[in-house]
Amino acid sequence: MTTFAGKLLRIDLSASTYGEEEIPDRYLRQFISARGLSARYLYAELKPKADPLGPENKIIMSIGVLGSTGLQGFSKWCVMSKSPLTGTIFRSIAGGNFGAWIKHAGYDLIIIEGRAPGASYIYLDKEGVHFLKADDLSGMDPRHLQKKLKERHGFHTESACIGMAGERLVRYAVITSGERTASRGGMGTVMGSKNLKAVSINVPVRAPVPFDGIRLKGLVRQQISILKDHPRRKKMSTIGTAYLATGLNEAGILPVRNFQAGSIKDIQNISGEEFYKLKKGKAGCYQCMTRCGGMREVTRGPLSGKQIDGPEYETIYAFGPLLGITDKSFIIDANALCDYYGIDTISTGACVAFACELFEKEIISTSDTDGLELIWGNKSAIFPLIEKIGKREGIGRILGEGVERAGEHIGEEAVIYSKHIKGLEMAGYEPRGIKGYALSMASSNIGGSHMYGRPREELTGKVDPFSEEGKGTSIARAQKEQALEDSLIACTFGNSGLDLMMYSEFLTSATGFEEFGSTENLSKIGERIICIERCFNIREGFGRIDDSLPKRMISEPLMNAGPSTGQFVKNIDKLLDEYYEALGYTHEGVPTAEKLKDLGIKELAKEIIDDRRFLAN
Amino acid sequence: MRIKIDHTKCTGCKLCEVACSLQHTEAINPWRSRIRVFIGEDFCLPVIAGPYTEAACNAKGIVMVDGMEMDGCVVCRASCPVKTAFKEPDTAIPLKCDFCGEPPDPQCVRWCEADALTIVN
Repeated sequence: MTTFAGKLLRIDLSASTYGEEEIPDRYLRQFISARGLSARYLYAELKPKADPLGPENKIIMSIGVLGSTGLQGFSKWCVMSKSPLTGTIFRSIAGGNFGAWIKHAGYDLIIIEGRAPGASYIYLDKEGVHFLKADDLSGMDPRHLQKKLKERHGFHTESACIGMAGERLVRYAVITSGERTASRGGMGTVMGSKNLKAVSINVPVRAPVPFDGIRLKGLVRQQISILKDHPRRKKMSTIGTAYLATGLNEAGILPVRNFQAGSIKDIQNISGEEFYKLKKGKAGCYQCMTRCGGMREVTRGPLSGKQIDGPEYETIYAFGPLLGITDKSFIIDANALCDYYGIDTISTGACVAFACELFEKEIISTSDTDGLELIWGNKSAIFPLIEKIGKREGIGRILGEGVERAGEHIGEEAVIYSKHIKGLEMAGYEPRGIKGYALSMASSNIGGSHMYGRPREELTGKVDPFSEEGKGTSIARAQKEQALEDSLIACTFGNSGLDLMMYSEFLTSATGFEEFGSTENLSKIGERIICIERCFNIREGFGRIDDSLPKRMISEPLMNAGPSTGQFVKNIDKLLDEYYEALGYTHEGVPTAEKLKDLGIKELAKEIIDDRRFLAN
Repeated sequence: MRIKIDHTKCTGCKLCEVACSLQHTEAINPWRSRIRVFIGEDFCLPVIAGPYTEAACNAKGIVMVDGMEMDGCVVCRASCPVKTAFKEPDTAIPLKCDFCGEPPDPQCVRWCEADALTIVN
């Protein structure tokens, strides 16, 4: 027995057909599950240069191999697709119950392809997949939609769905499940482009049977006792990720006013403790004792009077300091508004900040912004702007395309103010004050994400964050580890105090695959996953030139940033060289034939070796 | 002896389901657990499996819990013919809390982080 389901469900929306397929054993051994396995399938199946919003694009939903086994914090789920925002491969990870339901349905992956002829949703139960019409559900917000689906199909139904923004193809729409979202990269937009409103599952709980149940039970006990007293987990369980804001502000790496500064004065108004005071209840994921989400009451907008899960640190950053705001109730309201329309809070905040900076520099005026005075911190103008983005109306039509496309649309003078990497709006860490993050985001295969390899040593102060020495190697390692964790899927918040050794024990007792017992092999699996993702991007035409930071980060010293004042990324080329070398890529950032052979994906990534164009430039 | 439930403290993490399942079953499956946490819109309610009743109730009652109207069927501890909870999912054999053997050491109480469960003599 093994906790792999060993099967995938392929749903073709164009023809309204579906079928099950076996997943070959060797794929599981090479890529484990979730992010790794999805990347393998997407690379092999998606034609190069496919339109992300066309019927040819695919969405792969997946659950990790350790999901629903009783291990705490392993039941998140992963969405992978080609992103309409970046044009690269993209993975987005969400919490909630939905992932475990995929597992209970008996699948490791659900691949959705084609395009439904009209608004529709998928309902999966014991009898199979039902293709249902969703005309009456159009325009509905995720919260009410999920409630309605529960009423229609039974209390035990879990759904992953999109809001109005996804239907209207705002490029950074999210997929919502429960109170949690697969936020980044416009995964909801891809779903919207397929006319797919929701995927609902209602199946009995069938927990996977592990290879060595007795040993796994011992490990679950051990894990729970480690987590129970771990200080970081306790902090997550009470304050949640909101505690980060104060620390980052002190270090001067909290982006303020569209990355003009690195710290803000009134940080105490939006500290973790302040948000803790407003906490009304807890929220979290399936089989996780941490319950890091906090329910807070909304005072404004369509969800007024209701409670929402949030805000997380990244939302606090995007609707707080990034816009020059330090008002906690505004941040909660803005978060609720984004949840209502189903848009990514980080990207929305970054787009609003971009518009505010253009307004400040007088590149756009009130005639372009539908009369909104977009001055820093002007809450009464920013709130309607978020609404416009969610509905994709007026100026929201332009900003809903993401900062990269919006900048290009407005004109050359606007482009330097758009803060993005490969088209993805940057997350809440100022790269100039923490060089590891600068490299991690620049080299990331999915763009400016904060979850593509966290430089943990720098964040905890063990390594000098300003030094550019040795960062290439450490980031390569961090990215490998992250890739492995995303393939299990081990939650970064819930799994404090666990290491690679522990993961390897979990894996061997759950699956019985001997090779997972060696930590070198696990780190090689991580490397393989990054490598296949990079091959995907190279095939799409990405290269070294795209592994860069916005111009402001490499030329302008950071201002008003406490200890980080005056810092900037001096030599991104040197950092990249070291990073490529550590991963066995060429100077252009292409994996060498030897590397591909060493990782055992030479056959799979044949195009990269065969096509000389990739190596020549 | 009984296990006292303070539902206002429950955070809904369902660790008790995992703990019970750890003690009693081969693979960890919350549906085979003798304690279940029902999560509504703004409440979490742990219910511990009681004795089996052969007959279903004639009427469905509404129970008041802290001023909230709740379906009596959800709050009821009994494993009965109409209820899906507290039964082995495959065989439909009714389940009942046994306080984890002799001497009693209920795992759910031991693992509960929020102190929502306590033993009262």
